[in-house]
Amino acid sequence: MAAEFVGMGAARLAAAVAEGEVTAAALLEAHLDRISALDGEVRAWRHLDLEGARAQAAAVDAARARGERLGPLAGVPVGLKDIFVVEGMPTQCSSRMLEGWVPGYQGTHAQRMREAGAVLVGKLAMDEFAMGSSNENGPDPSVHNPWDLDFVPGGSSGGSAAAVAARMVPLSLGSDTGGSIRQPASFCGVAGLKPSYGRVSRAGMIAFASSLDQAGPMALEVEDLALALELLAGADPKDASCVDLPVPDLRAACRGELAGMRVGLHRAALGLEGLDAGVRACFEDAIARMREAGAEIVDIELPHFDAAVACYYVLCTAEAASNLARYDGLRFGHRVPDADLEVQYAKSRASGFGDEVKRRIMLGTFVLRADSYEAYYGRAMKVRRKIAEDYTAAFARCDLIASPVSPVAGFRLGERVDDPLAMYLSDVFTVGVNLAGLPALSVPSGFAKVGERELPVGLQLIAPAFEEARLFRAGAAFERLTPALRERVPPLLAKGGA
Amino acid sequence: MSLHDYELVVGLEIHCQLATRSKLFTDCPFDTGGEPNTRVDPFTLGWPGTLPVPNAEAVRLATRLALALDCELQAHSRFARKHYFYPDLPHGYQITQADAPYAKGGAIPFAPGKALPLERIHMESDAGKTTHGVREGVSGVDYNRAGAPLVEIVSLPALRSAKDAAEVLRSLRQLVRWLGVSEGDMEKGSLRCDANVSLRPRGVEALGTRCEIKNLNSFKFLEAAIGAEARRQADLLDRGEAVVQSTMAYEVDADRTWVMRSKEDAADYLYFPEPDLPPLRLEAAWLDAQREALPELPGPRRDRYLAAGLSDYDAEQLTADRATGDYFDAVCEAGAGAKAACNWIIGELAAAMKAEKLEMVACPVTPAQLAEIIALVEADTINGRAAKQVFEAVFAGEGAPREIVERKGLGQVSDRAALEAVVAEILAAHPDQLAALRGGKAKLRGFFVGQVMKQTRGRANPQVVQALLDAAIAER
Amino acid sequence: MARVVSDEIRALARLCRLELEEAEIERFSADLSRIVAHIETLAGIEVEGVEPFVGPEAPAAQLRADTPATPLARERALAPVPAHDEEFVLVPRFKDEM
Ligand SMILES: [Mg+2]
Ligand SMILES: [Zn+2]
Repeated sequence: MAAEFVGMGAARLAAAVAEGEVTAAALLEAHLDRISALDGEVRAWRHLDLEGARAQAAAVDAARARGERLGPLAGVPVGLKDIFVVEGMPTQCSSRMLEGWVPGYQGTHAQRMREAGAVLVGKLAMDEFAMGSSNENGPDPSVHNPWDLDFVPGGSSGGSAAAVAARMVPLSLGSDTGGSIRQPASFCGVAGLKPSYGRVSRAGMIAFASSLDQAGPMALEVEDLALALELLAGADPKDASCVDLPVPDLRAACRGELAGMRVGLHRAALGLEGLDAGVRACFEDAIARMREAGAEIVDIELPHFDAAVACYYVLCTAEAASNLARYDGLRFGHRVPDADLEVQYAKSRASGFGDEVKRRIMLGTFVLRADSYEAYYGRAMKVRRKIAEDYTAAFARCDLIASPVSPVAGFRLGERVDDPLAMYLSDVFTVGVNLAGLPALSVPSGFAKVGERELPVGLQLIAPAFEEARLFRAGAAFERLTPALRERVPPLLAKGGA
Repeated sequence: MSLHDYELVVGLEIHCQLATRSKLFTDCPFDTGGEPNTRVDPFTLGWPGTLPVPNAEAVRLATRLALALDCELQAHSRFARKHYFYPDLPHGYQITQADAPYAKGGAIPFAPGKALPLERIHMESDAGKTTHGVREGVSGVDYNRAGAPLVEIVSLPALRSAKDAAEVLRSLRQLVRWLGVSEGDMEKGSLRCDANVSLRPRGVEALGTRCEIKNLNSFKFLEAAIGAEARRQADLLDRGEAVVQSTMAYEVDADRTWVMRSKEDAADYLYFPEPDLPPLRLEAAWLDAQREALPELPGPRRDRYLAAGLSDYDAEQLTADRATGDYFDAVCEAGAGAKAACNWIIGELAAAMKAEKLEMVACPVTPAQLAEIIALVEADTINGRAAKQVFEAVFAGEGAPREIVERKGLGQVSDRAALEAVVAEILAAHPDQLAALRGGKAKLRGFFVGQVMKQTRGRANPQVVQALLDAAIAER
Repeated sequence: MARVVSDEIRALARLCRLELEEAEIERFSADLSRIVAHIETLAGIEVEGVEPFVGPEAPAAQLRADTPATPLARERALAPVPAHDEEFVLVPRFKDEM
């Protein structure tokens, strides 16, 4: 009976609970059934808090029975990437380094979600410390793409994307440092938002690269992203970089039209070597649809577009090396005891961190050393300004920029694990946004063939800082232009899970 | 060559803990003396997901100090991360200011006409504390102090003696207490000093290689350690050996310095701008308000007292701390003369406060009351002896001075007619002594004055008594 | 050509406290050499006179009032600590040099 609600969007579910169409408890159980049916294959979840979730659902139902006003997400099952701190819930960042760590404080995201009535189901898989684009980094088994289990779900918020794609939850939270929400959203055929830097608190989100990290929602529908951002956004006394700006009515923005919007197109990037033909066709189709809907397509230049990946990997690895210095085995987490402190440090860290994390710590340390600082870190900070200025100049000509999310629709598990540089280079469309601190949305825009298989492809829309409303206006309008996409579900669901 | 063939060059790096209630980057309370690991919170412990948020009061206090030292305050400064792995450093880095400190230049005045020029002052957070040997081969870390707010004052290498170095530190301690910026307690570690020491042959301008002596936590040790390091370096140079840039420790018992580590194994701190914190901006209007709110500083106050005719000694005593001078100013404001006010404050009042172990701010005698006592003396209403009694009574909380004079009948008797009778009576009672006095035994004057005082229970106006005695002696 | 040679990798590993096996050193040397070669393409960009961009800046710095909150109870502070007694976080004895 409640099973029919599985697959509906978050706002719709909250309304159903508020109206008494379904209880929060039944809604939770229906989603838990879906998880137990499919997660053996998808492996999106790292921790399920059945007891806690049932208690929260019961509390929502009790509040409703008492006639209390319910929160905007009351009774909606939500999953959190394992990077988010939830008091009392194992939080591991998919790293052996944090094995067994149960936070003794509440993170801002978990708190705001709970205050809105959301039922926190558990923690979702990710690349270790959010470093990766495939969900293959870390000690745990990889997540599989619900659209094709041989393929990666993308990363690092792969679990968050896969769980939504498999309709295990209608809404999840991810984090995006260089594309970690948008790329898995694209691979898994869901919508994902990377907010402006400073729009959402970083307190309670385990740091990877402080000047780039942002938390954001992933969902089946753009409007659910708007709802979630309204709840997550706003100043936080625990984060000095979080901005005290009013959050506009983003759900109202979702009712806007594409007509009258100027959409910037950086044509040079479409000539990129490695841009898959199917992805390019899908993107061109999306541009054509937007033009048809009344958007004006204008050409823009991003002169330092090609430098973004190099710039990004200097900056993010340096910040990561620094942020991960606290994992020394003394105050929390993994430790290999030794009578010599230096040996204890080196053994604990070597066995606690996986390969990709170690690689980035080494690279970050390399670029920060006193004798190479100016040539690498210092220079990258200056290139970052040039990249940011490119966007500022481009936005003088357009309201939004449209681009592919990833050069490919997806790749097979294991296909790229031995080529870190190739993996880095595939972030080419997403990292510039983080360097400039801009908001960007990934919305499903079609499918592309990868060999014999067919996988979803996302469209990226980028706006000036704190202009998320433009993304919702265009993103929701685009979604309305492509209703068939919402009808198509991963074959896995048809097969039996549902 | 020997030590005096070289010129000693000293620069100081002084860490001063700011007197805030919470830590520099988190609202965790901070006070010394707590049980280990009871002044900690998720940020202090470096728990994943926590972030620094700067304390406005720390910024205010740091600014106040920099303004008082005449530094150039920077409208725009930035925090940086300084990395090293150390058990008492919970994040693996210290948040400090590197190439963009909030204050540059300035100087610490330390003697009339002398000041130590500064390179910069920056804000930074403190580390925790380690207790070695809590068990065999095991150390225990306490994070209470981790994250406490500090300013580091970095001087130019401009001192020429160890004594001056100690003098600088004393002046700085006086100033930070004066401003309410820090407790300035070297024993408790709220004021800590490192000294950079180098030698150069006299007449040579280029600086010699410097060594940094760490953790000199008393004026005495600072002075002694600089002396010991200078001797060590002179010995090396005399033997034709080079001084190697090193970090030194001072061993008190042996009165010598030893190398903790040399430049070769100096760490690479991987400095870079702290990405969790936006730049620190000090608005011009706010800075003006802070400058406006500065109290009169010790130097100008001392000069003002000298100009008012007080001696060097008096001026020094009155500027030992801000409350004493404030009190003095208030007494003068209430009408007392500077010299009389000063004498009372550094004499009678200081002794009484010391006996009761009271701080100046808790003084039971108000400036107006002390001024009133002084006025009563000057108006001849009471004499000096009675004034002390009145003071004691006011100090004990027995009431206002004039009231006490009346209640206790301490008013001075200046009435000539009344005293004439007393004097005549006493002279008559001691004819032999009177004859001796008249015969030139001047000492006996005091005897007669004493007798009159005794008779009047101390209330007789001594000047009137003297005059009456003069008249009686002359009369024969 | 390896740009980040094995010895450099060893020095880096020491600096960031990672005990690496020989095979890892080889692998990281190869990986980092390729990545650094790519990063060095930044050298071709003219940055003369450009202000470093540390991060997107909040319009006004957020400062906090000096109001102390309740600290953690010691048992809670020490709960996740791998080695502790009732008072301290315990570490192998080390040379006190800071
Ligand atoms: Mg220093
Ligand atoms: Zn310092």
